Amino acid sequence: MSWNFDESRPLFQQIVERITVDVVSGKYKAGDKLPSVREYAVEAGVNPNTMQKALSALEESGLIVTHRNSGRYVTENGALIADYRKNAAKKAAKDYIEFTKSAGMTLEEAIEILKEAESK
Amino acid sequence: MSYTVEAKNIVKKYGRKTVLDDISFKIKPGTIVGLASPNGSGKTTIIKLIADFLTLDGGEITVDGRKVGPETKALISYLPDHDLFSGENKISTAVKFYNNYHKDFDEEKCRKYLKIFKLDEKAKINSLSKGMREILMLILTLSRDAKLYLLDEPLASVDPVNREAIVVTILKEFKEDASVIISTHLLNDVEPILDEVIMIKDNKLFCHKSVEEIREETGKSLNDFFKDSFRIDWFGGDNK
Repeated sequence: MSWNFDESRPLFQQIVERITVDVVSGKYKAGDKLPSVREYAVEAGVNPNTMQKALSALEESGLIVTHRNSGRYVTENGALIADYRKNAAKKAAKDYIEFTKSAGMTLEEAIEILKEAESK
Repeated sequence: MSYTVEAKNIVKKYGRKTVLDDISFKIKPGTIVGLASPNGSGKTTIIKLIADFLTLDGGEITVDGRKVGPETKALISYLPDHDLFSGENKISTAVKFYNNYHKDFDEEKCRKYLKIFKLDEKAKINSLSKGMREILMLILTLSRDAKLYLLDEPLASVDPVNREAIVVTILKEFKEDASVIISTHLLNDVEPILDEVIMIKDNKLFCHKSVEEIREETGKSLNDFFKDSFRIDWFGGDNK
């Protein structure tokens, strides 16, 4: 089954986002081997060149490391993964706070709702 | 590096009617290109010109650096938009024909895909639905080891489930030194696998662009960009 994309945004960005989530959520663990470009492209149902571009961007960010001849791996740098995890949570939190603000709630109320939602 | 396909100022006329007017484009190896335009605006004509099934009225086309002709035909695996085999033939006869006729045909690969798509080799071709005949032709086309694959409307009669399976098959068989040109108006189904798109409008080249760039620049999917570019102007022109 191919991945779901919003085709009005560049696919390579969405691939980067998705693999980042897969790493920070622990679906792929530090040091895990990743599929090859071809395997990943078939799995996602996208053009291999697009997949290549996304993996290169992830390499630049340090989240993915390439070992010559043996392929791509998730970084072993746990602190970096933790950083990305925190950033991903921050981004979601910002969106949430923005929404509650625009709905006329105070920060306290917003936090209260968060706690309520968690306990349900 | 030579381009897989290079079209220079090509012109094609049917009688007095010009269908392709001064069109140029280059296709690099390792790319999957969509050829999109509304019905009847020359997609099949372009494909046939590249495949050397039609002759040009102007300009030049090269494939892998060589002028289109018998020599380039061997480099091309062409899926026509019509049936190639008479319905009385069995699937196995079609496979045999491809195996005898094309040196680069991989019979084992073909058998593997026939199984995946549940096509029984003993079945007669006219016992298949239109969609399944399309799938059979596509399997035969993709089982060749060609430099260029020309797929003319490969999905037209295929149901959505098999469409996805075919798109995956195209991706699986895609080789980095080869190129694929897919003519279609069903852009929704193929847009994630395209590198570039070539659009023809009013017999001329309307655009040749990276699909990711279109998304980036317009904030639209290729399908929406296509529809918006060709929307009929109901209230303009002579329609008062």
